[in-house]
Amino acid sequence: MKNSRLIMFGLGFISYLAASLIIMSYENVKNHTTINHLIFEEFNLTYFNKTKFKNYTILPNHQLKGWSYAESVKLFQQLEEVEKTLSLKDWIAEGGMTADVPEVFASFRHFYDPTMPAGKRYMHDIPCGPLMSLAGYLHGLVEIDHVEWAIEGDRTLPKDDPYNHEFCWENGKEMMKDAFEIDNEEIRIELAAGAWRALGETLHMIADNGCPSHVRDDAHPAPAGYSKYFGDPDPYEELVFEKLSSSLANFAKGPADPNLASAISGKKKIFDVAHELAVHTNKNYFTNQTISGQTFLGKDITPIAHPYYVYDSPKLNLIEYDPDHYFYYNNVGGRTVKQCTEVSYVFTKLKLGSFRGYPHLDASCVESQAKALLPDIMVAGKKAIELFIPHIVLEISNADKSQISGIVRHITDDEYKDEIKYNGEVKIIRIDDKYKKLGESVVTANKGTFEGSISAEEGERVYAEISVGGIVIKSEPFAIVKPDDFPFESVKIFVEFEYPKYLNKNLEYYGHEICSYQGSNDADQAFFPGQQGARYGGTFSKGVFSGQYKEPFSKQHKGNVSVTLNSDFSSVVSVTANYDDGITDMNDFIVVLSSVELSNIPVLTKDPTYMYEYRIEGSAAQACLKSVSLKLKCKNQDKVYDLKSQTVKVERIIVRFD
Amino acid sequence: MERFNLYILGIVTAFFLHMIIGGSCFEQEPTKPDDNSADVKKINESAQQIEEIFVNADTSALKSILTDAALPQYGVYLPQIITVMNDFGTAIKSRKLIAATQHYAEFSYTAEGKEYSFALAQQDDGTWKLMRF
Repeated sequence: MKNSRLIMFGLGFISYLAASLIIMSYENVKNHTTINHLIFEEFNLTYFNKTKFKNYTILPNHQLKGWSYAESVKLFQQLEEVEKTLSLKDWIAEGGMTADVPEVFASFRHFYDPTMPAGKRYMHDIPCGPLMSLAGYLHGLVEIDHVEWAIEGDRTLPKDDPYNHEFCWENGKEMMKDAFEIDNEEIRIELAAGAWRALGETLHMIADNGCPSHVRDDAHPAPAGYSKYFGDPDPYEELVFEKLSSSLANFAKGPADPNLASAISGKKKIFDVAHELAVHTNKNYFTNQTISGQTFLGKDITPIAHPYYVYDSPKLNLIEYDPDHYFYYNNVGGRTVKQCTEVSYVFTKLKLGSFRGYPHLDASCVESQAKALLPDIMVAGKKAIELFIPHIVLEISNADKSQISGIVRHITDDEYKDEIKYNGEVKIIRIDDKYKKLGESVVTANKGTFEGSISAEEGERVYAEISVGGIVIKSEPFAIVKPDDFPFESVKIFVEFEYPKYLNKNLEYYGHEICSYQGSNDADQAFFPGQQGARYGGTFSKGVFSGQYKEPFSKQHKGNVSVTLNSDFSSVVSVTANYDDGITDMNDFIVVLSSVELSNIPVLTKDPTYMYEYRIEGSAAQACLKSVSLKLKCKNQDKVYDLKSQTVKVERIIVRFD
Repeated sequence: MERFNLYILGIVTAFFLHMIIGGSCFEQEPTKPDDNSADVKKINESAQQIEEIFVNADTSALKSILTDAALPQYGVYLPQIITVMNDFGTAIKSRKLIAATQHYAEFSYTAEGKEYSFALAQQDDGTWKLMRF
């Protein structure tokens, strides 16, 4: 009895030691920092071509003080958190390393099998047998896949649990948002450092999704001497990160799979980017232990790893074979990729019928795969950075020689759904017409709006600029002009609609069915406020033309207009106009108080001696109409017809100053 | 139930011992991200030993130079492989080490005008064994 107790205790003791030894054998600190650097460099070469980043400058060498680990370690108790000052790009690279720390804990969470149903995409390979399950229990939950872990961390744990993923994507975005909103420079820097590190940890996941063994459930612990239970080392993981690390930069410059690039370009969520890459890698690439299909000579090959769950693609019999060199090739997005070989001198000599030795990846296959996969990782990684950086637009609403005001506008998207309201310094920089800097001052933004005093001269231009964690965002230049620089005192507003429908007491009417339009061809159109538009007289001040209806015939016609122009008068920013016919004998109907709101109308003619005309036509005009309310009252019928604004099609908008 | 509790107690005891002993040991030898610690000397020594076993057609030693994972793959063909051991041993005299990492090494060699390769994996005793040939 005493002996059996001792045996049970000893078994438990040994179980733990065996499990720990096996898990600790995961040597998964690799050169992810190199890949993260490469992704950022690729992003840095092209980001400014994106509309979103038109006025952005990312400073790769901007120094930020934040928190990281002293070095990579295997276990939690070895962790030593230290303060580091690194550049923006080095924080992203740092995340490539910290994602793997502590190594034992991380190794369980770095697999994603896209062929499995959601929630079951974590590692199932041999190491998840009874022994490893026990080890996993001791070291933490293992039923979590890499994409989930990298994006949200473990949802079953509290967010601030020490065993949860502090620098996951979602927390990183929150840190980025806070960095924009906090009005404390020291904390802003720390938040930004954390945000870039979190991005780096996500890029680690992206790189793993471009690594066949990580998306084909091929665990590769490669514990020296324990290959009986865990297989031999994975040639791809071993060679890519150690032997080929100096070649990765060259590989990364190669062409990406155009179909993958196209699919990823339209993604709006990091999950979709990560999943797309994982599907692509899983479907097109073998690992050393997941080769399956029928060889050229008809031998059926069963994968070494999880033979009970065989992937549908690729298959030896469905890809190309080079009988002279015994290599299997496939075409992945226009790149010829050497997937595996069955070349073996011993089996060639033996002449064993259809068997030439087990197919495997040699160094040349690994190199061929890496050459194709690295550019694909670059595509997905660049997209991840694009989604991670919020879309902020600086706009100067108004500026004169002594005052300036504007907004720091956050354009929300699928990743950043809550509006970021910037707090902090806004630099105001004075420039001449050749962008030569003339001076600068600082105003303060509070919850996304800024105003303050400046000292500028007429003829100069100013732009606003904010800087958060190495991201510099500028506004468009705004011209400082005299009030009388705008030479016009009247404006005509004209909007034309096609195929209008009207409502009266919930009944719908076509144009030819109402008032004097009956039987007229003109019934296919409607106009605001009438066929000739409406002319308003007024004055221009601080970027806004304000006026009243300018009546040539009757004082009973009424209306007001407000037109905001941009700083160099190259476009109408917004128009608000209303109009009321009052009483008239000239038509069979009158226009009852109606209104229109318009925006973003580009200039067509800009001649200070003659007129400024802003005009937009066709399908593009629709986006310029913010709202319309047009009411026609038929005199004979005493009915009011409302233009059915929900379905109205805009044909033409004209705003003409003369 | 009592036996199960003892089993768990054993695990927990080992865990805490590991926390104390393991932690202090690893602090002195942290893993470095760029540490390519391939032991080329050991790899070449093992390759030489493998060559000699094949050249001498030492059938009794053949199993001992295969990794545990390679053994079931090649085991069924061992009677046939024995017949070409000397050929293979002679062929790999022209070997060149083309890749080596902490756990993996790959050699290329030429035989009868064609290029072939074989791979070794590191073992727990520091030696290297054939994982593919």
